[in-house]
Amino acid sequence: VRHATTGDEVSALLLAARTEPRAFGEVFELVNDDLLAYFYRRCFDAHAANDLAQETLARALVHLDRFDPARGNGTQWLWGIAHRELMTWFRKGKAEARARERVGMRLLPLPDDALEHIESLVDAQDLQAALADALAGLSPSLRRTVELRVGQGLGYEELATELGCSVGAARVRVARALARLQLALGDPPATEVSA
Amino acid sequence: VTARPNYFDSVRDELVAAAVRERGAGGVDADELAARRRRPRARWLVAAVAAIALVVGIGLVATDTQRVEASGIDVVQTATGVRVRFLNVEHTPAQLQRELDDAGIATRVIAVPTGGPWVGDILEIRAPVDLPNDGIRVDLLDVEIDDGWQGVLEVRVGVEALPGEAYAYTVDLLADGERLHCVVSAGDPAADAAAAIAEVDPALEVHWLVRTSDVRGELPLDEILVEEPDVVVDWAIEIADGVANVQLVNASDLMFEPDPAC
Repeated sequence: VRHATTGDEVSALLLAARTEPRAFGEVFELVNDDLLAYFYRRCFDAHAANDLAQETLARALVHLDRFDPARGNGTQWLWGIAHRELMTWFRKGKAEARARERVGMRLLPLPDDALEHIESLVDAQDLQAALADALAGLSPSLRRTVELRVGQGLGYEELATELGCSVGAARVRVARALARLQLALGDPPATEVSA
Repeated sequence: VTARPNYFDSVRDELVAAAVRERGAGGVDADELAARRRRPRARWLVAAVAAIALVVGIGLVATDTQRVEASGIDVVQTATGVRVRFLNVEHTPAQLQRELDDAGIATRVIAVPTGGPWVGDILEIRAPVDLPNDGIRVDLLDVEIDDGWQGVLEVRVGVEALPGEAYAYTVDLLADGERLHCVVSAGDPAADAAAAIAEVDPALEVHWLVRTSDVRGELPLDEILVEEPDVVVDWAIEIADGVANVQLVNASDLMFEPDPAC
């Protein structure tokens, strides 16, 4: 059963976690499935979605004192961090682990049942249809970039050769194309948090 | 949606234990939390299984595979070949090459000059594109290689660039832990960003790149501000030690959001 999370609930728990750290476990219970679905819908990779969700929560833990409910509720704050993690993943091609390392979290390998759970959070057919629409909405050059990088797995040097640009420009094109796909697949607002 | 697997209870325990350590409310670790959660149901069973596992030196997960431990990689023999996991540690190309050679995995480890967080990091893992992909699967830091695959895996590892050497893999200067994190943010006006950089890191050589519908290219900041006074920072990267590119765009064209933690 998934939670109908409200930003106020999460806000209260984040504030409580400053003095009662176990409240952070309740934050996890409320938002983890939604974070996993958010990332999986954009990465199409359950392992990456899991890493990104854990890194988001670890980063939130590190920066807990910076949460200010006057500037937005708890889910908005968490999803702001999640968006930043996602952008980093787009650029680097892998999830950060710095926050998890900083707080000493062990990186637990994802077993098959957990992987299937993540995949079950998102309707695959809806996702495929949305992705096809999003790809169709890209410019031809950006669509070609995605096809070469994601579809054919070209490295950045080969991609640059294929596209006739510098390696740096190729990286920027990939980041831009994936960011636009992400936008086309839906913004990360707090309203998405509810199941 | 499937029932939530126990794995996520373990993740939650890791997180709560980290929260306890971070917030200074005691020394309960994840194993202890997990044990507490299990105790009401099968305390004796958990203890017995753990003790047996410890004595005979096996993991708690039943497996028919043989595991080879190395400091930078974890190699597991599977029924169809091997699975290699590149661990999240600081790698050196020579050490990694040696470990992969010892494990019998045909690999070319390539040193990529870079800086900051990328030194020692696995930047890219891939199979040559001129071979069919059948027989190998690369998933971030995990590689599955079937028996009989004839290719040579390529692994790019970040190494510290020589003084003055251009980075082949640039560093995101606005990321957490980097020199401009929370000094400059995406969306900051260009003049404000220049002043902040000059104050915090006056030795940083900044190349200002601009991309608007009217102006495009690398220009002195003064000229950019005359032509496009309202441009804002989109991203900033380090392209060699102490040398940065900062991209300026119209606010409506921002590709990245400011870090909410700043």
